[in-house]
Amino acid sequence: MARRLAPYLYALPGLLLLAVILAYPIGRGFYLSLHKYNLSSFSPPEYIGFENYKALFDDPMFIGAFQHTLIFVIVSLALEFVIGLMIALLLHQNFKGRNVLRGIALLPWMMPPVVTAFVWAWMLNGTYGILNYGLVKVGLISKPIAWLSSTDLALPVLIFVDVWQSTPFVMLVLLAGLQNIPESLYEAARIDGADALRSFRHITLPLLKPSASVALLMRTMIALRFFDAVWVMTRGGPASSTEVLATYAYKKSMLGFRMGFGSAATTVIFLLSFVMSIGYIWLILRRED
Amino acid sequence: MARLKLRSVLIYGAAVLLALYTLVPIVWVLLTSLKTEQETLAFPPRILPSGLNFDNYTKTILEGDYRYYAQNSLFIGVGGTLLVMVLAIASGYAYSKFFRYRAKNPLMIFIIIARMVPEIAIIIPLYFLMQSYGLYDTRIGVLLMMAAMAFPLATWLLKTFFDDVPVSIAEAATIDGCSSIGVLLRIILPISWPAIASTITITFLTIWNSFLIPLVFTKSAESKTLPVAISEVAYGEYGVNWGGLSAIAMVTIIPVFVIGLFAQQYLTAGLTAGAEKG
Repeated sequence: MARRLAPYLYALPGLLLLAVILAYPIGRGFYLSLHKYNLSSFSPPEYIGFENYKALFDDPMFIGAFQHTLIFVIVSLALEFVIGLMIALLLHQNFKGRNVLRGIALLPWMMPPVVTAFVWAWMLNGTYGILNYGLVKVGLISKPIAWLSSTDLALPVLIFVDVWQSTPFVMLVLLAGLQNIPESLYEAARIDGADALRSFRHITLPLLKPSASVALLMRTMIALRFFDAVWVMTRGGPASSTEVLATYAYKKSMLGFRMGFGSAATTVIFLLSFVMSIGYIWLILRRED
Repeated sequence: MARLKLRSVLIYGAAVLLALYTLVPIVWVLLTSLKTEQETLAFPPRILPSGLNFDNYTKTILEGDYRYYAQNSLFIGVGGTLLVMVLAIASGYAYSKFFRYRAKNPLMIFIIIARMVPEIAIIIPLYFLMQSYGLYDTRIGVLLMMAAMAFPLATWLLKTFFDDVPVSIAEAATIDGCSSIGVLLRIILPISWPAIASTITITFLTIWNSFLIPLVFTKSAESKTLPVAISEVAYGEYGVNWGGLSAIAMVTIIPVFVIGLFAQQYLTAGLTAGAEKG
């Protein structure tokens, strides 16, 4: 009897923590999203059905935030996978100093995103930034660029900063995938007369797919909630050009005190992540079969 | 021979590029932290400081509130990691192959879904919850929330590592009269210490680097963490104390880089296990 109860006892404390701090707030958030609940007006929550969601999708700023998030996710993930694969292929070679270089390459991924954002805000500063100075000196640009106060450049800059920070994660997963491909496959291909490019296309890429797909899902989920660097570098500006879903929801609720409306926005973000986690569970279950 | 030479030129060229791309921004901030304000804002920019000038460090850390923020970050990081490890070792054991029970699969799916919950999705209800239990703007409140955020991944990592322990060892111990907790403490944990080290590393980094939850739930020097403090003063083109902030930024990444230096293999192992095995 004690033996049958044991696993439940081991799992219970952790489940309690998750129930209070994750599960309850998700449910409560959905409940609040069906209410008009403005903290600045001192009136209790008032049930209004799905009005908040209607207002949300009628708000051009929300639609903009949605679009920026999509652009951000697609462009930064594409870059992270291309650059990550190139770095993984490099670090898969045998050369002196490889382990040191691997340690260096990992550093950005380990840094707090807030610090990364600060580092690049300083590098890219319009007036004192070293990057502008260098580019002018080399002659690539004629006068300093205000990277973060341009509505055209701010989002690309944020994408760049995320690529700098997150590529090491993708690289590491792909590198582990590369190390799992048996050398004998390449030898067999060589005997059959395949050149390097062909064995890359027909052996390396297909065999990397399982690890790449898990990394892709995880990165997508994290990119959907992109917040830290935006908050430090642009706060969603200039002129909302870098507003993403998380900054939008944060502003409406924590700064605007519209808790019902804000909850509708956070519920949408949760649902997007939830769809991703279903895909993730499906991937894992398929592998365990 | 010529081909071999070309290959090594290409490899070392790419290696140097990668090292520069990664290190230049970090080194630039390190140099900035050692400059006087005049040197920081000089035009044309000075690459090297005139000498080792630690004013930025002493001023911000000794005179400002930053030493409290550093203490808070450390308290939340270390305490949160301890809490997560205790809970996750027990949970990882419960979800490992050593137990079979009906609720196992649904509970595991719940853990996976919990791992995907974005912080932004829960801050509004947590704001009310923390207020009503007097945990708003306290280190304990942030510690509990960050522990809940880091717990699912830690559990999952430990579960996959425990699954690699041979059943025969555990069975032999059970026959010798070891209880299930005895098997965990005396058999599984001692041989899983690399897994424990990996999980500790990843959990500590997750909590130390976290931003949105501390941003919402810390207001005063009682609980504010280093990333929140940096974010409050780093925004904007003018009037930012770049030298002082560079010093704080360096202080914030020192623990991270120490971990990178000493625990890189565990970090790598944990990270790839987390991505590969799910």
